[in-house]
Amino acid sequence: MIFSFYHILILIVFGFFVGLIGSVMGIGGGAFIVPFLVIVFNIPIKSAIAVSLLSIIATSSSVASVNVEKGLANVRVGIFFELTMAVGSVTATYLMMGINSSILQILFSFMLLPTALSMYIKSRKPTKDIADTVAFHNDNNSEIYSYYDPSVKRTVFYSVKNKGSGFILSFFGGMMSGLFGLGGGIVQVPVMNMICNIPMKVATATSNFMIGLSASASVLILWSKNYLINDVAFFLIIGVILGGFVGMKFLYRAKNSTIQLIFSILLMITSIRMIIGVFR
Amino acid sequence: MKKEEKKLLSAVSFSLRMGVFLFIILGAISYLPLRYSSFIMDLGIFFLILTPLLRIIILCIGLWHIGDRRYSVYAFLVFVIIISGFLFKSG
Repeated sequence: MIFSFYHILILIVFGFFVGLIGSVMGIGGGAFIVPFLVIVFNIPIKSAIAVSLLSIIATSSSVASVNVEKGLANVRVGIFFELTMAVGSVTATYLMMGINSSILQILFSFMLLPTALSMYIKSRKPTKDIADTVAFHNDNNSEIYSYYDPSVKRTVFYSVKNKGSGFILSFFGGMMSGLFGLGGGIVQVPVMNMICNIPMKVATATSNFMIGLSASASVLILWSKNYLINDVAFFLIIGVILGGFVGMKFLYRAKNSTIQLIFSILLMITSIRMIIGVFR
Repeated sequence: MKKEEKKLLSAVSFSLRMGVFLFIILGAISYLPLRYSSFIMDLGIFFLILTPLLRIIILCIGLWHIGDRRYSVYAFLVFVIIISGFLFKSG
């Protein structure tokens, strides 16, 4: 592949926007990177997935390095859900070779739509933050966590509900990584926010913390089989890291309902794009 | 947040930052007219891939040290799952 300054510039600018969206939404941006590299750069899909997964590790590491220190990412919940996420990621790598990906893609797309709709409805409701309600009515003796939220200028307390359901569903987050080259945040964030009642900001920060691990499980294999295009990965990641740091400033100050709204629209677009992709 | 926990989170944060930093530095060096430029880029990629695994090891040791044995065991199990996955794939 002939690599010009123009290509480098496109990769850095595109990476910047992916990093921006990824850090705010808690996703790796694989849903954007893979089609972009295939369509614009004419890169084979397996190489695009390898580049996407490496970029997910970079996003996850750079964004999580700040969020972990600030106490925004819930490390304990992250580790607990990573148990099944890692199993899902490893399992999916084997399944990818044997199962018809179109069937899985349809199932995944139809699973995303109701999630997106319910999250959209939730973001439009002028209700009290989940975190407050949980802190005031924590009668199930579960662990209480907290983080400082500059958008409301106070420390917010919350507890994690339905840990078992989140634990099981994280498996599917890992599956997304191995099957489609996604980080898994597109499953992980709604699971943590809607099922486990984790505030949106903490859910996105924790998801960012988690997705790098599932990506690293798959990318090492693709890298050892020479699927990774180093130049493309390097310049894309430079943009992703820059975008990630800008996005984090927004995440820390943004309202939970704003993030929910953006995320629900993003989910709908991804879902529709995947359905169209299968029937095209 | 306890002082020990803050230290642990700082260590995790530092390990994540270092992985990305090494990747960028080694990647940039690889574009200089050097003899082993491709090896240097590969080394940078290798460090980046290992970053999430390194933070799991740090969390496993750190959580054990501060007495949170349950989550330390969880971190260890995550590490075992990932390594087993590598071994099965390469086997």
